[in-house]
Amino acid sequence: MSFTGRGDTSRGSDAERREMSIHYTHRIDRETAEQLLCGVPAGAGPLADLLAAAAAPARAAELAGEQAALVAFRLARLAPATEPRRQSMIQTALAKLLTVKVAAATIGITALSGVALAAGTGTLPTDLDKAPKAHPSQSQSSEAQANGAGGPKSPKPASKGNENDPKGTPSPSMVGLCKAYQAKAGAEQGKSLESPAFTALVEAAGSKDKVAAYCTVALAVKASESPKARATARATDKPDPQNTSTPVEPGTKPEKPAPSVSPTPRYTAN
Amino acid sequence: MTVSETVVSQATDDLSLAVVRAQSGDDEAFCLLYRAVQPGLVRYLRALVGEDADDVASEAWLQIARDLGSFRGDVDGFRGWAATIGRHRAMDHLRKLRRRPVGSPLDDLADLPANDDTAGRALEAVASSEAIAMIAALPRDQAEAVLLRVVMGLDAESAARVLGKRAGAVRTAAYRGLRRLAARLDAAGDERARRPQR
Repeated sequence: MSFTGRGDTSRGSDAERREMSIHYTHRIDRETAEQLLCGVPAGAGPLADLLAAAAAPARAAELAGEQAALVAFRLARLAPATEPRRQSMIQTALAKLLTVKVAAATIGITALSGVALAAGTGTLPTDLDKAPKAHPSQSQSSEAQANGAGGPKSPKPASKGNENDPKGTPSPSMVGLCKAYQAKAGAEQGKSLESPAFTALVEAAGSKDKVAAYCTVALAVKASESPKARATARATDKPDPQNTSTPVEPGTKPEKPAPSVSPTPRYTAN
Repeated sequence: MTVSETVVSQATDDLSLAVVRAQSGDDEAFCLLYRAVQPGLVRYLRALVGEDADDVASEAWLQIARDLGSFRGDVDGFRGWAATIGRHRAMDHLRKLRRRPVGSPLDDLADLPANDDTAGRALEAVASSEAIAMIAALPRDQAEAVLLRVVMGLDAESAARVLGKRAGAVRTAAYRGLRRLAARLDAAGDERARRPQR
């Protein structure tokens, strides 16, 4: 693909000169370039064809992550309507997905039943002090910072919402359920979803046939765990009934990763 | 306004509506956005993280899903926002791998299957992945500028915001990228013309 200085011995100096002259005669001007960048349809020359191919409609493989994205979207939506609480719930839910390894190690039968219970009352991701997401604030690229794109994600007073939450108790971990689910062999997976132990998982995923995709989310982000997030999650992953009565910490921690996660301000004016 | 412009404008309006609906929790609207934006996003990320683009795009979507409520803007803004998130996740990813971004032409060439004839085939019916690979092999600033414009559908100003540069710099980078691509295509065409017919 490198056509300049390609050390092709079969090509004579005549050919190279010819190539050079073609480069110059076919040099595009800025106006043409701008038109091409705005999407000139294929057929207007090789370069237009190339760009049209680059922007061609999606291939199925490119959309393979749709279910996983939808699951994340649903998790975010599970949060109650109040905005501050919603934010921390969402972060918590995703932190859950991001800490699959820890959860798998610490989840036991008791936790599982706790999950089912919590899910039944609509409080899936509850332990609000566990939001550390796997994106330390220094993770921003310098360009991004110069850009200011990672700018102020208006820190919301999440603690307010937590304070009044009566049921933010056990540590329901969908990832733990996913692990349990995936540990089953092929045909047994389907059967296992009939079991009450997995009710919460099925509800969270939306339906039985979406459980597999739902659980794939956890695996998809597993690799992105930072050691820091892992350590924090380990420290807090046990069910802690005190969570409900200690709203201050929960309110502050989730905001920590905020700078790297919400590059919205540049677009807010649109 | 031409017919095709009307169609495009209608689609844009529909997607802007989808942004609003998704923000109020509509599954279907979210999927609509995903299908509209993901192909461009993953192709853009290809230039930054190569074959890890799918994983990085998945991470980006987790964040998009989570933060959608705080996003303000129409679908064009959404594309830029998604690209910014994807870019941040790509940079995180690269930092994690402790390696430099892909994008140096020479580094990339080794990874491309059948790289010898990619440009040649571009003259016929080039698969999108090959076209992306060819653009991704440009110097990185050029590759990013071209891909943000062409596959993410951003204008120069929006692309500049994603990249943290001035719009003029992005225009120039994209222009240089196109010129280089044109030269490669020309060279490929030239070579094909001299090649014995098969």
